[in-house]
Amino acid sequence: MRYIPVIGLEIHAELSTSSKVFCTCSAQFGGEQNTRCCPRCAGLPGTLPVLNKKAVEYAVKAGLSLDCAINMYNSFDRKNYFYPDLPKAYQITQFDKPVCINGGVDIGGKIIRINRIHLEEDAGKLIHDDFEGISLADFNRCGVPLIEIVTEPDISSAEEARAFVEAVSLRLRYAGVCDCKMEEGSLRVDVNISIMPEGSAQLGTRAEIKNLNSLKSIVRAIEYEISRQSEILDSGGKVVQETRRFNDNRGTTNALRSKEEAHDYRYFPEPDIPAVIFTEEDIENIKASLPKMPQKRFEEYTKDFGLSEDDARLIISDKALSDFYDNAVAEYPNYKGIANFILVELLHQLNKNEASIDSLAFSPSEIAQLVRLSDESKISKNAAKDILRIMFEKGGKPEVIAKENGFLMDTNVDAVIAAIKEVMDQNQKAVDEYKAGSEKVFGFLMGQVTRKLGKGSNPKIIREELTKALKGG
Amino acid sequence: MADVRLISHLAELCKINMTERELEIKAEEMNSIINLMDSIREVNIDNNNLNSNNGTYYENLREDIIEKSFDRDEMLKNSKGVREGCFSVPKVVE
Amino acid sequence: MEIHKHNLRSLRSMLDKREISAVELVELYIKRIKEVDHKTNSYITVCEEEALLQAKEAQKLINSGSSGSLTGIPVSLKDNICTKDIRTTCASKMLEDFYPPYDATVVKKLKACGAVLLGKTNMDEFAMGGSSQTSYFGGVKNPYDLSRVPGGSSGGAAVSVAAGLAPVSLGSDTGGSIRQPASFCGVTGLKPTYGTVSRYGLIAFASSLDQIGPIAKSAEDCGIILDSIAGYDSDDPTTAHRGAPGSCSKIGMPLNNLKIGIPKEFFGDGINEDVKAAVFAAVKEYEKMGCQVLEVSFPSLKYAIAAYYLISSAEASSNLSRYDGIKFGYRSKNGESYEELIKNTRAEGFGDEVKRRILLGTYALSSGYYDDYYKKAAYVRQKIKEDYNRIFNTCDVIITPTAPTTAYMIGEQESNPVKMYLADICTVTVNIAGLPAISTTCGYDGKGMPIGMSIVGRPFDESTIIGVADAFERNFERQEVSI
Repeated sequence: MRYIPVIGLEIHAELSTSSKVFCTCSAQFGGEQNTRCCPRCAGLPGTLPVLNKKAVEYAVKAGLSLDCAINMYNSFDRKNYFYPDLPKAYQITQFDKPVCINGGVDIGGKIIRINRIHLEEDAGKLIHDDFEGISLADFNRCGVPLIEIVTEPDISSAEEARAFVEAVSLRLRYAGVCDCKMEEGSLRVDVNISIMPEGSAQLGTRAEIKNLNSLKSIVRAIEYEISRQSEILDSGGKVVQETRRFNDNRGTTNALRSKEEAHDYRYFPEPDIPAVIFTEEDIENIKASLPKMPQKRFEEYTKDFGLSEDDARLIISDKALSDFYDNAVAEYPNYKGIANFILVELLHQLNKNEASIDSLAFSPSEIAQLVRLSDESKISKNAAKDILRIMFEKGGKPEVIAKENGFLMDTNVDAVIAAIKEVMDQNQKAVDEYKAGSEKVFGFLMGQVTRKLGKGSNPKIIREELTKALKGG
Repeated sequence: MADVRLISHLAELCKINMTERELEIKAEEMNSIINLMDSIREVNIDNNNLNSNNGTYYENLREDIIEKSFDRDEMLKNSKGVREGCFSVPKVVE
Repeated sequence: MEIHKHNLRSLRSMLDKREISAVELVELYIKRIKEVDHKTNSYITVCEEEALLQAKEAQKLINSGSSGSLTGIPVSLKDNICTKDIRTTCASKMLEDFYPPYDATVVKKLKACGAVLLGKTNMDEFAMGGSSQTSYFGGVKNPYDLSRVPGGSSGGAAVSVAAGLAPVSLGSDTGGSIRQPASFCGVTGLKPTYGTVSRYGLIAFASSLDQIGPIAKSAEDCGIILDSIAGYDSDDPTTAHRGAPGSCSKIGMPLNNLKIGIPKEFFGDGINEDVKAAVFAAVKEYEKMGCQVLEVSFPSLKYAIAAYYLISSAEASSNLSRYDGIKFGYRSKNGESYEELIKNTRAEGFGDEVKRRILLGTYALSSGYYDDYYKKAAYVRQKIKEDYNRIFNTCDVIITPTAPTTAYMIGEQESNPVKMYLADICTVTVNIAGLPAISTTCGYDGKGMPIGMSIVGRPFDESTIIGVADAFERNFERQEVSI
């Protein structure tokens, strides 16, 4: 029996604001336990939430970067449940009217639809002390702003899930709203997965998988679940609707609760926070502040600039790199040449120096100039690499560096022709050998011309003119 | 009709322990109270726009500025179960 | 006249003329509290030391000629208003030893005015009730008759003013909790328009209904206090930007052409004859002053009690979930697991009425019941607002009784929750619609117990209702209590 997996994701992303979503404590990661707290985020009696404008802005940016529509009037609700990491015993979230709805991401020919994105507050952290049989609650993380991205169950495989999470992460990083580091917990993914027999119209019972800390875990967990659920159905059993936890060591999932108790969260409108009203101008301003998104750049690179899909993908994988590239080609539109130089030479140097593109001693304009020098045959390709190395060490303008180090090549064609004539006259035997069909001797003749011309000779021009001269007779 | 089963379910939701006797008493009390509330069920809602909150314009929201947090001691001083700078609870059963 | 019977204007004058010092004034009240309050039990905490220190500071301001309206004036605060490092209990075992690490905004404002915080007053537990008998610290007694309730939930606040144990007080009103005790105790109490006074630091009962307001000897005194505590607060985004004029700006203005609406549904069979008679008599006085009286209708009143209790209990059930003994407050000694610990803490820390409200609120919000109860209550809320809007198209103020009865005997009806809830019929619609209302004494029943009438105004029109109440008070002789 063949089964079709039906997968939906819930992605929580921590917004990189300075202060928390409902109070002025720092939203920074870490810190000594309970040192980034105040009566508001610790849920002391009498306190009230005060919404952070930047958190709302970032939620809108996230929505726009994922092609969502923005709700011009959106409001907050309380989700009520008891857990030690939730000091108020309710989470302020958006149930009824979320900030964003109806978006989608193309993962390469298939669009995964996004049902909604809403803004909410994070809970604290619980540290379990098994020896003492107690748990310790740290509220530093309480109130850090989160967006929750909920997809439609459009995903059909582990690879699609991975591609989707990667695409979303890339866009959120471009929008500058989240650093999307799963290993640090700033991006968390829950998977809802069911399977149904091929050809069937009825959806299967779904399981929710939590505790996925990396893209690899997501893939492994989904693959395990598909196989687990298939086995159950194959043997005539029923899949239980439950929450399961992924065990990273074993690559398996285990049920969290033996009996599924659907939570009754008793959602109701948050009376302490007035609804947020956007004007058209607000949204336009936020949209205008977004950089060009990776998918747009990919289209531009492949269709307009003629780059290969692989190269385009490499460049857009890092916004800083892509920005660098865009600035360089804006000055000198050799799209392929600059792409190539950046992907080969620049990345090589970055890796060698363990540097990041943000901390370079030179600008995109300088790279553009460097490539142009090479294109105009004013320097050799090897010289370009050397100049780049020097720029890494101490910055500087390529033309200046070329001059100082004698890399500039003569483009005086007349001198070359003259030198060639001399060499040919002095080496009649070699010329005859060449005309008789020996290719090898070309190198010898080139070497003679190069020696005669001395420093700054332009191999490209020498080659061209020598070839012409030899053919000419 | 508020019976012991309903009250027991509600008490579980709102995490208040009640003895059998208490459940019986509360069931009786809640029965009268819910009967009083039941008049509202005859109301027909003729629009779905229940915006009780006046809104705030996005422009007027709080700026994203950090202010000094409270001292940890101040935050912990009212708790009767502090360990290692945290609020301690008996182990949560997963 | 004894000092504790003076109003604010008179106390201000005495202080500024150095006829009495701020310290002497505080000492006077402290002495009276020690002498009298064992009978009335209106205070949970008396802040003798702090008050004397504050009085000394206030005196410096008075001496330098820079006193404001409240400098050196002692104020009592309902014990659900957070006072930094001073015990704030909500009259509950759950918060018996809770010391807030911060001041409520109203407390900051009072301190900035140089007012003196005399103490924290007794109340119904977590502000849930209409009799002030559910307190963990013992019930409050009405100074007019110690065997009767003072009303609630701000019973202690009202009694402190009525019995001369504080010149003014701050209470809170969610469904009548300032107005009804004011009416039972023969004083004046004002619930401001929702959003006028910051709720930051008010321990929440029902977030969309709660407001802090003054209880004092007169409408004018209420206006003076209100001006000191009102205003937009960035710590409470539900506050409104309140424009001038000041709350006392319409005191003394002529009332001819004022249109008074009398909603017939508020004068039905459930209202005592004494009460009706007193309110009608008061309305007649207004007619003599030139007011026009219009009979109006309020059809949604039928569902008001249900709507109020469903909304307030729903919000309360959520607001009170944080009381689990982990971060602050009472913590049970029993509980092997987190679940058991919090369930026991809440069972042991909360009183019966609080538990009933939490159960009701949980019911109204729970799956399967939300649409039938909470959602319909929210809809009725809109209908109530529409009824008021319609009435205010033709009327400037509305007058109703504050309560169906006068103060009843302690023990007479507190064990009957339904009867207690129904008694709120005159006050709850005002909270549901977020309007301002003031209760002032308009008569006494056969046993000498005070009768209160409520004057309800348009949103942010406190100055009109204060002016209207003041006009009546000037010509009405109150029977002061002697205790």
